[in-house]
Amino acid sequence: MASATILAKPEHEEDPPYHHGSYQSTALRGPNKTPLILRPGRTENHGAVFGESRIRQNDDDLTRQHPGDPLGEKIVVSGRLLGSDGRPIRNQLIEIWQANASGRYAHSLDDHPAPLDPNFTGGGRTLTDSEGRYRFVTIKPAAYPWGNHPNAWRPAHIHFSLFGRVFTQRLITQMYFPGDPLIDDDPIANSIRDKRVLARLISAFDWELTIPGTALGYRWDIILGGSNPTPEA
Amino acid sequence: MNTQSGPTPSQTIGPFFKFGTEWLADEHLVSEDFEGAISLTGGVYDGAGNPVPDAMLEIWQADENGNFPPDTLEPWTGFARRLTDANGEYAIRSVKPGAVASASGELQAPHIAMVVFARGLLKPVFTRVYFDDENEANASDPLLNALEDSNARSSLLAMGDGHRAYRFDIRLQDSFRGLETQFFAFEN
Ligand SMILES: [Fe+3]
Repeated sequence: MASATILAKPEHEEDPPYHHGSYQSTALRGPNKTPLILRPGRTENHGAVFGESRIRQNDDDLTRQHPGDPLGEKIVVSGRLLGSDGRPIRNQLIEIWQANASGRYAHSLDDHPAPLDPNFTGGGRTLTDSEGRYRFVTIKPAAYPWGNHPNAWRPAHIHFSLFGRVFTQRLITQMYFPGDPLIDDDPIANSIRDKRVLARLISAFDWELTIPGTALGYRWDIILGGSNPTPEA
Repeated sequence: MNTQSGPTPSQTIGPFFKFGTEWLADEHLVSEDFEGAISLTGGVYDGAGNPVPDAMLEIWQADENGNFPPDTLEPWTGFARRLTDANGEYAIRSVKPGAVASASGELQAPHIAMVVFARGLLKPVFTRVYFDDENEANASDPLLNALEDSNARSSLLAMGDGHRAYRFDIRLQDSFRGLETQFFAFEN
């Protein structure tokens, strides 16, 4: 079926599939029908602009959101948000959330018997600067067990929520840490079939981002695919 | 310099996103006394017909005149987010958007773009919300007309109660009855 609106082009292969047998929860939640490829209309080609009004002080420093210091290894996570055309995505919202240094989420349904940290919630947000740069200060999250299969452990990760210039670029993903031995056996990470594509989710240790005596640094650049419309005349 | 060679791939939102995303899930698109305000409510269901209580959805839409920023009269993000409740339900107060042009310039029936994230979805599902009381506009909508399967077409229609309340359910999977929501991916 090809028309001016619906295209016969196959879905691009780099994203994970909806069904990935080793990740149990996909079985009943992944759609069975193949999505139709839609040529975006104006609704899908508009971008949401959030602005600074709802960003508060320390939203980008997860170690300063409570009266005391959180436990764990303090880190800086920083990089750039770009379109696949290489242009920076400026003044756009980036949200993160993560487990604490024991691998426990500040969520009422997380029953992992690791301690909560009263000085760490694990949610952050910031706006990119004029060059698409972002920077968070946080605590390195720990790996945590989950019920997917016997002795299943998620590699340490930070969840990222990203907005591009338009709706079709909307992305939620997870950033991993270099050298983590759990990545190789993680069904979620390995739902991405091409190892070179999976490698794009692994941050790089970077001395330049460290705060001497205080925090190690990880660099992670994000490229939003989807359409990259030229600004409308 | 960037360290990446291509688009960053998707991963699931997971089950424990509430403390990171609910801060943006409290706004309606219009105030209660806005003339022409509609309510858009519905549920998210899995392939067993069970509600999905850990989904996050967002709507993106034009204003009532079919405009987007910076062409809107009032400040307008055209964006709202909801986290489904324990029954898998969401509710947003908005307006029925004006008609907007398609990629090829044809006028489309009023519609809202929607994206849904959930544990178990390795990438989001994208769809469109049309309105069942827009018979004439829907009949000439290029996307609705391109759908050959009548279930797929009706899965995109929010059902109105005649009093500006619309219900739009998202069936992530529904193979037995064939009622799975029609989802879309986009041309790159
Ligand atoms: Fe997680």
